[in-house]
Amino acid sequence: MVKILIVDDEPEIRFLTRKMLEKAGYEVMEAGNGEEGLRLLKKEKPDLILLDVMMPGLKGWEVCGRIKADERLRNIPVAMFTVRTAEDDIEKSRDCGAEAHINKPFDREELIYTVEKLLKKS
Amino acid sequence: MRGHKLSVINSWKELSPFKIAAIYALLGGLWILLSDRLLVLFVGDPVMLTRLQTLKGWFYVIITALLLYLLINHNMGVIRRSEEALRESEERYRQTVENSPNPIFSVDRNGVIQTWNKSCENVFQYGRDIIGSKYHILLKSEDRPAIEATVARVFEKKQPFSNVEITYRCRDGTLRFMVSRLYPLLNPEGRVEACVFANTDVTERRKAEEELKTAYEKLQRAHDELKTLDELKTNIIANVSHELRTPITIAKGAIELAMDEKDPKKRKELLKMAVNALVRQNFIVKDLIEAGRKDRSKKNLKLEAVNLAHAIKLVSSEFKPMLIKNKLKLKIVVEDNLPPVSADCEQIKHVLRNLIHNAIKFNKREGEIVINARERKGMVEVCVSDTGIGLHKEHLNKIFERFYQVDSSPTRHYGGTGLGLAIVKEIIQAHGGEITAESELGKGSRFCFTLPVYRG
Repeated sequence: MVKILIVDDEPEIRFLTRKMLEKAGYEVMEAGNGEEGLRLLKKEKPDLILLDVMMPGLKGWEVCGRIKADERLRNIPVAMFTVRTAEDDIEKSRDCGAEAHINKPFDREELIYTVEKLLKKS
Repeated sequence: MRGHKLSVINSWKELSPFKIAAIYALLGGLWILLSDRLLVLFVGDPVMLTRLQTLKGWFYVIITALLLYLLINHNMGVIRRSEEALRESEERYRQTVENSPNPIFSVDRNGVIQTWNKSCENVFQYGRDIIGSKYHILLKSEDRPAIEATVARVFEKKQPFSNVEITYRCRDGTLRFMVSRLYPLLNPEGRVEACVFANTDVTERRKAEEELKTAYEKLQRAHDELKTLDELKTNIIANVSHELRTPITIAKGAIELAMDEKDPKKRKELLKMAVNALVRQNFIVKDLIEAGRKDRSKKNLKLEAVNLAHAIKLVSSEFKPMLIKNKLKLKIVVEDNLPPVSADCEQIKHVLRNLIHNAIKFNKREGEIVINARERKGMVEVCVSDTGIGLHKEHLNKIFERFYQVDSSPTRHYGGTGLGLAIVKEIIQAHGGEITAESELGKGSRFCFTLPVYRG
């Protein structure tokens, strides 16, 4: 089964995203912040990562940068998952190596479509 | 003729006095010897010879007297002219110094003022009668030793000192800053006779420089403040949009899932989640609306008798879902017979809502919130205490400032617009009350506000 990791500090958002992804047939893992996400990635290797930007501690962009710098993890597609839609925010997502940028609030269809597209590519 | 005479006189000048006297003695001696011989050759009569010799003696005396007269007359003229020239030249120098726009004076070895120009009179406000006094009265007592040492070196080393900074005290007590050159005045024997102070008054220039510096610093500060504000503004926009969009994301997702959910219990959970998200958003919108209110003076308040115990219960009930979610206990302790307060009920509810929301947001899991209300000297005091993370002292004074957040970075842990407490303070102050905050890092915070008791 295809595994997806959600890193977001809002428990409701993690819960809802998990529901949507599970309904579409994916297995979901959760992390409440960047450090927790990186810790989880030491043992697990998901097929896709959804990363929130505004989190306590490590910013989503930093987490993304570390994933992309890791030999073992760099091929996992990363989608930044954020309310931040300013030009330079999108640029920062691109700079850290993220493959996609999903704006919150998002549509269920949009989420599933982006996830499928990223998985197909990899 | 005159030119010839002058050239003779001038050629004299080149001879030393000894040579002139020697030439005179030689010519005189030759005259005496040769003239007597000539007379003996031509005159045989001894009586005639004696007469002629006497005549010749007189002639000699007259010629000698004439020469002496010419010589003395000429020398006297030379001395007179050179004296006049010297006087003129002295006068020119005196006037140059006298009319100089720079204050110039000189002092002798003992520090007694010897010369004092017009500019000195104008600037220092001391007349020429200062000549004969010591120059120390012009200096601040703490500056005296350093300047005296410099003057002593001028006398000893015969060396000038430039760019000496001196603060002079004028007769009326005002201080004038001058940049001075101190130099020795030598007498013909090469001894230092006086030390001259040639001063340039830089008081106005320094004042202008200082004003310019102050203005520049002010500008720099304003620039820094604007830059900080601009950064703050950028963060506020990011934070507010994050705060507004997160509940929308939750509500939208929950409703979308609820639409497909067959299980009525699960559907209800999802819809509840959506409602809570909207309640959360409503808080933020209310904050923003309150923040936009420009005039928060007393006359804009709808004052009435407000039962605080009732208001506290009402507002607390709004937070029930949040309290349950965060596993927090809420205790309300209201004094018996608490009198009503004179307040605008909606605004006071806003205050309570903000303080309770903060107490929840910054609390630890399974922590406690206590709301106290009691009467105190004609005022009712309400305190909201939590067992949360607490605040650092340096933040405690600033939390009531608009848009101040302990961490306003886009990745901060706690949400909020940064407006809540600023508005709370404005509301309480408009009511004639006060708000204070106490806190201990890691232990919790306590916010207390007062409102006047209602008097009919």
